[in-house]
This record gives sequence, C-alpha cells and structure tokens, in this order.
Amino acid sequence: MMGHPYKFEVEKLDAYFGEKKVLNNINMKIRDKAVTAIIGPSGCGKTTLLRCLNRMHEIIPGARVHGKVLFNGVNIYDDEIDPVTIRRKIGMVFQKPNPFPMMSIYENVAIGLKLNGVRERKKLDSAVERALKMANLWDEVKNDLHRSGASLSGGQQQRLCIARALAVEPEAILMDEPCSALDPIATEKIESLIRNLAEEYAVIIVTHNMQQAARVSDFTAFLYLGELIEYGTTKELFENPKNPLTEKYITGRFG
Amino acid sequence: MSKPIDSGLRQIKTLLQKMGGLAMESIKLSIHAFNKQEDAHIQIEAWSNMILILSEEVEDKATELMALHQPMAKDLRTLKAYIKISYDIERFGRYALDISEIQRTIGRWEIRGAVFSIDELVSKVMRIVSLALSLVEEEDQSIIWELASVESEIDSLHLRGLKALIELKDADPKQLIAYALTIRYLERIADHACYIAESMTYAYTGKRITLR
Repeated sequence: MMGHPYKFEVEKLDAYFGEKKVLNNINMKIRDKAVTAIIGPSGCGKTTLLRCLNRMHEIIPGARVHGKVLFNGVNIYDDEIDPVTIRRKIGMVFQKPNPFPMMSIYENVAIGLKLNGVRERKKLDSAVERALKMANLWDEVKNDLHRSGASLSGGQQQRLCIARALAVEPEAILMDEPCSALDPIATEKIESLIRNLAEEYAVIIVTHNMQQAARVSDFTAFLYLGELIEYGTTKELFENPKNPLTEKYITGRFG
Repeated sequence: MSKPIDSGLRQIKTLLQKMGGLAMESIKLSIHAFNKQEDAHIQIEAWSNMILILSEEVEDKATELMALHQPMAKDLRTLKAYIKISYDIERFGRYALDISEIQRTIGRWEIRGAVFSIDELVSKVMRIVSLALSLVEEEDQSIIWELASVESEIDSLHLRGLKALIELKDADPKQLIAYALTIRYLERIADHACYIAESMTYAYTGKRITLR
C-alpha cells in the first residue's frame, strides 16, 4: 500500500490564547522526508503553529485549537487520540538547549525510553548510541557518556536534545529556532544535521533567520498576523515570491 | 522603505548606465568609421577597455552586496540581472571593436556595382540598444513589445542583407566580407539587447520571457 503523501495536513486550523485568536484558518500540507521552514515576524504565530502540530499548544492554560491536524491521515485532535503518544511520535526541539542538568549525557538520551518502559540495558545502550550517532554527537561524547549533559557546549547540548528527541524513534521532528542561541560553527553542525534528518523524517523548523530557512529547507511557509500568506518551495519563495507581503518581509522592507 | 542594499543596487545601476553610454558611443563610432573606411580602432579599444573595467566593478560590487546583504526576492533577481547585463553591455563594446577591426584585418575595399546600405539596420540596432538600456533605468512593460518588434525587424534586415550581398554583381570580395561580418555583429548586438530586456523583465516581475 502506498504511504500517505503528506506527513501533516493542516485543515482550517484556528488557535487561541483565551479569547485572542493567534492563528486564523491555516491550511497546509507538509511533506514527509523534507524540511519545511516556517518564517514570519515576531508574534505572527510561527511557534503556535509548530506547537499545534504535536498538541503542545493546549498545554498552555486558556489555549485552544479549532480545526484539524492530520498526521499520517489521522486527526491528532480526535477525542480518542492520546496527546502523550502524539508528542512521542512528533518530537520537539526548543530554542534554548534544555538538557536535564542533573542527568548524564547517557541518561538525557535514555530518559524518554525509560519513561516508555524500556528497562533492558542492552536495548538502552544501543538506542542511546544510535540516537547520539544520528545527532552527530557520538564521536564527541562516546568516551564520556556519564558526564553531566550540562557540561557540554551550547551546540553540543542542542545536539544532545535532538538525540533525546530521536531516541524514542519519532516520526517527525519539530524545531523551534534551534540555532538562535548558537555560534556559527555550532549552527552549521545543526543545519547539516537537519538536512541529514530529512532523509528519514519530516522536519519542521521555525526560524527568524531567513538565510537559515533558505539554506536548510525544501519548503517555506510565511506567516503574518496569524495567517498563512504564502507557502511553496523554498527556492520559489525566496527568489520569486508571489505575494507582495512576502516580498516585503524577505527583502526587509516591512514597516 | 529603503534598505542598505538599495544604495548598493543604485551604484551598480549607475555603473551599468556608464557602460551603456560608452557602448552606444562605441557602436556609433564603429559604424561611422566603417562607412567612411576610417580607422577608429584606438578610440573604440579604449572605450571597450573602460567598459571591461566597469564590468569588473559591477562584479565586485555585486559580490560585496551578496556577501554583506544576502539579498532575496526582487533584490536577488535584480542583482542576478545586473551581473548578466554587465556581460551583455561588455559584448556591445566588443562587437563595436570587432567592427572597427575589420578594415585593419582585411584592408580597404572598393565600392563597386550597386550600393549596399546598412543604415536601416544600424538605426534599428541603435534603437533596440537604447530601449534595452532604458529598461535597466526603469520598469516599463510597453518597451518590451516595441523591443520584440524591433528585434524581429532586425532579424529580417539581417537575412535580407545577406541575400543582397550574395546577389551583388562584381563586388569586391573584401567588401562582401566586411559587410557580411558587420551585419552579423549588428545582429548579435541586437541579441544581447534582447537578453538585457529578458533579464530586467525577470528582475522586475519574476516572469521569464524569451524575445528571440
């Protein structure tokens, strides 16, 4: 049987904080095994959209969502869907690296598996090694796995967080400005990693850095005031945007 | 709202205008010298070299803008167009130089038999170059259609000219070669004028057109 052509299908999605509507009628289809970037000015709803894709928006008190987000063809907002299962399948990497400071590198990666009931040491070892390798961190930490995760550099911590997300074998990765706190060398490593991850996963990245979106993504969505203004291939959107608002934003002529 | 990259783009446009002015003068002088069988090679070569130096300035400035401002959308398309256009204008100068070298290479020719004139072709070529350069100056879609029509006339004149040369009775072979080469160079100049219009249309609208 053919797989589902799109990993996510967002249909008529509205998101609210209390009475304030922050996303308005978002419709977009997101491909598997590709990087999709979400760009737009501060407060346009980029992070909210990202958080709606794995049901993290509703964690915030007063926050709610209307509409559908189909993941592999199934609406993640259906009543019978367990949000915890969804968040395990759709991993999230945040702006600021957030390793658990009291845990070792090993424990940071293994924690998700342990919470999912994996106890067998061999299984944990191999999953930790696999995740750290996928996150391009293994060679740097393999002899020091019991060192504190907090002792790593900012870039290594971010890759550790990516390894933590990968260890539970998600099906998609969401990244919320994953390089904003990193220097150019660490950024380059994360960007290469993003491209590698796209060989296996749908990767959706929110970024303020348009050059980064242009470098790493296959598709780009431009959001403004909670509306999806333009969505298409990254090449087309950055070279030849169709909407004058997109043109103004990406050439820095807003305001 | 103006951005730091705007002033850089304006600087490149000014360089292209200077190059365009020199190229127009070079073509005019080369044709004048050709018709009179005079030697204007030194002057045209000097202008051609100046055009080359200015095109290197365009390239340097464009590289600087790309490195410092990482342009997107219309800025990116305009920069890309300017780099291509700088080459097209450089070719104008080079073809003018080629015309001025004909007599140096093959020597003076005799005018025998029927008179063969390239005046109409020259006037159309000057027109198309001027139209193309005005598109660099500012967006005007109506120019595109005039330019396409002049290009088509130039193609016909080029072909008609070649046929007329073949049919010239008792012509000096040197004259035949000189005229065949010159009308060919003029036709190539018109092609580059079309490339300029295509590049600027893409820069202004994001749409690719082919005029030839």
